Amino acid sequence: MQYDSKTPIYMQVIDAIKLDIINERIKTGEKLPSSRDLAVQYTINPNTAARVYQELEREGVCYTKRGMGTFVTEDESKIKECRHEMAHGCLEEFLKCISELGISKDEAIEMIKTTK
Amino acid sequence: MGALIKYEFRKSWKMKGLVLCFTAFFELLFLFGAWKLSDDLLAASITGLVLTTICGLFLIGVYGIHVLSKDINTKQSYMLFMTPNNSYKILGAKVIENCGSVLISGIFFTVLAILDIMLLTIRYEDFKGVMELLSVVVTGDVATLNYQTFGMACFDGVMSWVYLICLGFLAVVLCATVLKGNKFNGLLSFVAFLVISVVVNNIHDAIYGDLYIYSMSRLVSNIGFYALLTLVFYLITAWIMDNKLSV
Amino acid sequence: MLESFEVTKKFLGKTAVDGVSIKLEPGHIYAMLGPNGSGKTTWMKMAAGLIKPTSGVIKYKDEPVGVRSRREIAYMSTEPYFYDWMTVGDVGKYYQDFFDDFSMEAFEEMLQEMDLEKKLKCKELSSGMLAKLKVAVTMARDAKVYMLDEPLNGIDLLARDEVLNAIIRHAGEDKVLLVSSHLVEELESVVDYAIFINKSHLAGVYEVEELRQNQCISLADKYREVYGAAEMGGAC
Repeated sequence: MQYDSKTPIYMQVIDAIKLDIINERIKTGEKLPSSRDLAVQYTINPNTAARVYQELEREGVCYTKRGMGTFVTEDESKIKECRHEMAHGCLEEFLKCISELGISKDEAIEMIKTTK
Repeated sequence: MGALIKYEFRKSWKMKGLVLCFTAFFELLFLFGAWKLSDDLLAASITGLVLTTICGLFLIGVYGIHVLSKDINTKQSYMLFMTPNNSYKILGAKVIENCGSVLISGIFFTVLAILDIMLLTIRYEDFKGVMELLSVVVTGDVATLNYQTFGMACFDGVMSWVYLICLGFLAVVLCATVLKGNKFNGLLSFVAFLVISVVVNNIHDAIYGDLYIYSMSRLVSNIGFYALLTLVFYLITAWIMDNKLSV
Repeated sequence: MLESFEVTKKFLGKTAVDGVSIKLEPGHIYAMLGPNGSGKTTWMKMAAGLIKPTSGVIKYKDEPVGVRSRREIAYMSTEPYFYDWMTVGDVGKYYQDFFDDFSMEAFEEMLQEMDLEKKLKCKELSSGMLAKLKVAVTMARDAKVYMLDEPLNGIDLLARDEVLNAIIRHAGEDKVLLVSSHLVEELESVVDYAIFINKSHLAGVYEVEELRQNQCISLADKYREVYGAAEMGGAC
């Protein structure tokens, strides 16, 4: 995975995992790799991998069963919330770019409608 | 220490095997000649055996010095110096393996020579003349030669070679440490080698005189002298490695 | 765990390392970065107890490094150093003969992962295979400190991934990993701290995620900044 240079790596990995969950590449309730394996999978520092799970857990996207590992939440509403948040992030990014180009929100909406 | 010695042997066993093969070849030739009472074969095989002995002992020693040089001057140095062994152990393994090889080969060749001479005295009735000639060559004295003295004289020669090998180790280490960066470090360390060996020779002659009179006690003290030198040069070399060597 | 106090090394009047003080703690992977010839290798060799500092001291567990610390500090030099006659298997046996913490099973496992045959002769290995072998045999030790000098030098992309995987797998709470490179991007995601060495001096120690979080710049940006190229970075 390529990491962009401005945001912390752990946040980029979190987003990647959330995206996988939203797209159901990772199912609800599914066991996630150990943080060591996660580190290998994403070629990241093991401490960063541990932090990824800490954050995901804090947000309620994942939970840890003692001695069993980390699992994706079974709470669908939580996942919906994630999708909503990520969509908002994308929108914000998009609007920022658009306004830098001097295009208004309405013009942008028009463009979206006409773009195939 | 055992592992170090093992790998020192691993580095040079091919060369040693080759020396052994040559020896075996000439020895077979010799036995065949003695069986057939063929003077030509005997002459050729004895020449071969003497040459193999001298060249073999020389090569084993020089090769040991070459290996040390490689072990401290090339990237292979990590192989030894990354292990949890100090310079005394690393060099000690080399001294034991190399000088041990020379000593064992020396004893082996000496025993072989004695056995061969014994065989000849049995096969040839008029062998006494040859023995006396040999006696003159080895000891400079017709009256004194017996197998024991002959053996000791050979051992003495081998010991003086062992000390020279250790001196060679010292020269190689000097070249890679104290003289490092000097354009003439190779030459200078060789000069140091020559000077020290000449000095040692003079000390030796001052103590023992330069007459080749071989008595048992003289031989024993002579061997002690070289053994002491070997130890001294080993300690100096290891100390320099420990304090000055950068690999 | 491994600490360098004002360490200086001079070779024939040239200063290779000048007054470097750093402290490495277990549980982290450190990158040692800097251009070629900046003194990274010399510092590592001193920490490995292969050469002695001209002044200053490097301590492992509060004792100067030396023959004893080599039992727990695994060092891998950047140049190949195995004997010509060795096969891949011989290299493993050699390590087993000299290091109590070496595990033949771990070594064989890594050989399998990296697609290396035990019968292969070291002399005939490609540079990528040799680099993998060096890492495999070094990481098969259960050491407390691993120092890998330029493990990614001159190897292809796939070998690079395998080497990085081995590094990540062997990091642990009680271990220090130090990996040097003259290429920043290769190591950025893997390490948590980067030690910059410039012209034999310490040019700073940076935490990768902290740089991104608080300064919105990557390690590579910081590298450019420290080593004097164009200023990079920007607002969060």
